[in-house]
Amino acid sequence: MSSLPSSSVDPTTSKNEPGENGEDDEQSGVNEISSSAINEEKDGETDRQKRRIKIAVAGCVHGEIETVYRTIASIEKRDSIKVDLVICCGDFQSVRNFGDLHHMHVNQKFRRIQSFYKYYSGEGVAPILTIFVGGNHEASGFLLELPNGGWVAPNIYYMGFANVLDFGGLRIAGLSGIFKPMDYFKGRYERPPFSNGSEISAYHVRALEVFRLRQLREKDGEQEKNCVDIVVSHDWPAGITEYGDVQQLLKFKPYFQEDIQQCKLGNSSTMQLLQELRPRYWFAAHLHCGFPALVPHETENGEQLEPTRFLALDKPIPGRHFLQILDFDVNEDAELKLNYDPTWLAILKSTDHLTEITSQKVYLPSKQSKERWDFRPVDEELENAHKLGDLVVPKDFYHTAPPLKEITKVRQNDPSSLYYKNPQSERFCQWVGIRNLNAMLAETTKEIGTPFYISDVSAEKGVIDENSQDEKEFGELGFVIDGAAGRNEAMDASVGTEMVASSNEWTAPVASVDDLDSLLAGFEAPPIGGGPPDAKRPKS
Amino acid sequence: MAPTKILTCGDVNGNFYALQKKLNTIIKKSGPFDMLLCVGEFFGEDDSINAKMIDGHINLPIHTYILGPCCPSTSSYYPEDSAEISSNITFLGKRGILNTPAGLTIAYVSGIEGQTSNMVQFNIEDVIAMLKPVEVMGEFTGVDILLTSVWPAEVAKHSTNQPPEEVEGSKLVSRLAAGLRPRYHFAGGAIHYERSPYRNHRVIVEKQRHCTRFIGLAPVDNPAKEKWIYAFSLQPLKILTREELIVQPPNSTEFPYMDILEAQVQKERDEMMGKLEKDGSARNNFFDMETDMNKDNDIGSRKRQKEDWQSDAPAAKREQQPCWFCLSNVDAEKHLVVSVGANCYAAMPKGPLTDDHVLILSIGHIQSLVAAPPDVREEMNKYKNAFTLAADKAGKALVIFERNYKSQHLQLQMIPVPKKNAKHLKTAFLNQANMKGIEMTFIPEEEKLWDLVNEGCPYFFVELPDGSKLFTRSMKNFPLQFGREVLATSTILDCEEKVDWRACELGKERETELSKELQARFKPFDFTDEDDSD
Repeated sequence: MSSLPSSSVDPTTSKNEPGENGEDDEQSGVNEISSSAINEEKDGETDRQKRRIKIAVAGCVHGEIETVYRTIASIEKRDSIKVDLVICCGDFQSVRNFGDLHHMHVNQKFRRIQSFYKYYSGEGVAPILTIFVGGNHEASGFLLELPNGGWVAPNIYYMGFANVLDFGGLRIAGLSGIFKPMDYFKGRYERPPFSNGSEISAYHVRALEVFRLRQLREKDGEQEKNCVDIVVSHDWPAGITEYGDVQQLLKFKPYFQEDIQQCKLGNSSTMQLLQELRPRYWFAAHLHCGFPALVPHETENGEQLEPTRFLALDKPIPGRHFLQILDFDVNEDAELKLNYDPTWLAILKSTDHLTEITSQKVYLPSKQSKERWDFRPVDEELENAHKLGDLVVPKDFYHTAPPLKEITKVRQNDPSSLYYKNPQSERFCQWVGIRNLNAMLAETTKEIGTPFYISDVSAEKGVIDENSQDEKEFGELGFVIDGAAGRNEAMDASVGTEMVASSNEWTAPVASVDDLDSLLAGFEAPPIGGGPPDAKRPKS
Repeated sequence: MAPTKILTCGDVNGNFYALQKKLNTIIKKSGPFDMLLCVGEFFGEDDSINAKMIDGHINLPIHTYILGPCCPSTSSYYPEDSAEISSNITFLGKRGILNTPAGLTIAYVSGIEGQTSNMVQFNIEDVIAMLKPVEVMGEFTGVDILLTSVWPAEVAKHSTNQPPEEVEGSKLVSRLAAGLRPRYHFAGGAIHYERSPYRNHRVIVEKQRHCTRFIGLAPVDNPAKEKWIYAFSLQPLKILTREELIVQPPNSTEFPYMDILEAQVQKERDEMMGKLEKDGSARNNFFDMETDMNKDNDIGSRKRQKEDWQSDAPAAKREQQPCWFCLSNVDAEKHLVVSVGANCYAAMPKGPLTDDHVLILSIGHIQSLVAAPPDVREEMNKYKNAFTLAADKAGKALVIFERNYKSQHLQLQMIPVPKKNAKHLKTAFLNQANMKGIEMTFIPEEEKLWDLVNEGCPYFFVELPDGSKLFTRSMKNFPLQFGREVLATSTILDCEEKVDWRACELGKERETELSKELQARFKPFDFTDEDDSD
């Protein structure tokens, strides 16, 4: 990792390209720029071991996943590129059927079935591997089946309350939900049937999740570094606005003023997380506006680390900045699959005793406690995690709630979905050796559903029959974009004009921060459309 | 109806002739009065004079109401219960409420505070008995007059005028006055002092009530010629309209007894919780920021509380506990002192967050920065500037905070933090506050803390290196270590193990060493040095 600073982009050489291209970018739109930038940069690059992949980041999806895929497809076609991963920053609304709509905390007029159900039922297949975190408008009952994450549809992976995954060597951490102080220190207890506002507190971030993520920081005495590549959250880290162009933000959202001043715009617990983990990128949504920021990091010895490039994205409305395609460098031989992160597995295991089903405050150990408070894995714990074997996330999607095959009047009046024990949770927890929160929550209610994959075998051959083994079922198929090609073309015309899915710009905010020089230098540094060459995940 | 004309006098102590003479003069000048109320001791040491009064040889020109004795030597002259002592003198009895024909309500308690109730003492039960009817009464407004032999404790708090000397009062009387809400409260046993009226309600938060005028009267015919008699006329509150009653005099101040009431509530809670521990050795609490805190591992201070509560000593004695932070009591820990000015001094705290963490304290016993007089604030500011410069030289920026909550003595914490981490401070303080549900407010540049906080109100205040100041008054469940907690986070000082000062106590030897180093480093900036040499 010590090679990172030296091999990363030299600000002085790369400065000009983004600047010049940036102007072009605004006029001619989207992706040509990034490809030309890539070519130019590649010339200067000596490391032949690397290749460049593309990740599309979407803000709040609000059930419009189909629109997101179509937009990406049209960009892919126009610019002859291929997106390798889609990251969604919450409000995904993985609504399986009309029963799930009851679990979604939204205004009645937004309680619509939208497009996700097609991917759940098998009517459509997600064209690109997609991962997402939960927001505050979700099919909460469904997501609560997967506290540690899991497939909500073939090729669409929910990250759980908190998670760390590896994609082609990129370390991606996710945190679901939004921050509310009154629930922050509580345990988890919410599940359908919801009562007493538990459908609301269900999506509030808990201290334990942030506590676990904090364990990813480097050990004492170790050289400071960028501990993760990407963090995905729904709400912004409160205080991030200090590192971006607040005045610009306030032009569009003047009513943020007071919250910004009081440092209440976002999650009060994640700014420290940002400072401790120093992710290279942090993506968020929630506030329905685009907002970039750049947080510099410095080691104890005054060395500059890669800054955190923060980007908040909008929701899929024509003309809004809801999608961003970014380039990342990975090893030439990197497999573009989701992998579990051994450090995270070790943390889950060593902190398992802190998981509690309670609406009361949960005690978290601190440096002042007599018990263990530092769960940064020791060597032995890491070894044990590696001993678990293959870390590839198995493709073990199951239908728990019945899929919606056809929208009918009768279906629209379906009662609230039940809670299900999801086999993915059971398998994962058994494998890691931790308690299964999904099963524990299920024990707190008698209203447990019989999963669809058990009750209806006939309808589910394609997906279910084979997934007793973690072999591919929907695997490669998902990456074939052709399947959706017809739709893409239809969309194409509108994309250029209405859907401004601007691809690769980090607009430079005017920040009033002490360390203005280093901040501005950093701002110009990020190459268009991507990070510095060395995208290798830090080894811990 | 004509208002009742009343005279009140301090301890008579058998000076009946002097009293008689004075009364005659007043009547000659101002006409007849309806009653004379005597607070404090009525009889004196001279048996023959006392006898003359009882036998009716001395006649007072006004019908006189007297309280009971405060010391056993005079108790023999009083009847067992309230009674006419002579034709014109009524002994009110130990405690009760007198309703006059004109409609005035006069509550009274005689004697001094004690653990047991007897002829010369009243105790907690007496006070509870007095307050009980008030508690059950739905719309209790107050009483017209309260008479007590002794002063209430802390009556001068928040007052615009202070008594010439400190009078140690009874906390039970304070509680009684708080509960009965008299329009006039007279007390004897000490000196003359007419306190500026205090409100019986919290401004804005509670509906308006009438004010109380506390008047302490000196003994009759005292050699210092302090005022010992007070004349006034009064309409009973029951015939006044609400508007008439709640008129707020322009010089009215805050309610003085809030702390006593709160401490009482806390004590009762502690007792009920049954959590008081027996173990724990007595320890010196110097620079113990949580002397009063109710924290699980705070054995030393809790033990002290418990002893206070259970001991047989009268309550007044508790007040005499020396404050560990007053410089005069610092003897045992003077190795911590770094610099001494005219009004303030600097010392190293026990369990410092960093090697250059200092406390600035007032030399005298002052509650908080808000309560401090200008000269103390001024010197505090000098220290602030001096330590800012000292920190700057070390490549650090100074964070200052004060917690006026569960603390007795003004102490400003000054902690230098590395400059490169200073930019995280504001976010860190605000985020931690948000997480803990604490409402932090910025103090506008042109305003001062003491413009925003009333004296006596608890608060937490922090000033950051960029000059921004934050404070909060929402002290419910306020974490006592809040300031330390924020500064100890990984992005600022990164010493989370030091959040609790007890975890990082150093021992006397190391303390001496560190404070010497501090002294040496601070010397070039120490303005008190210059003053000395001039």
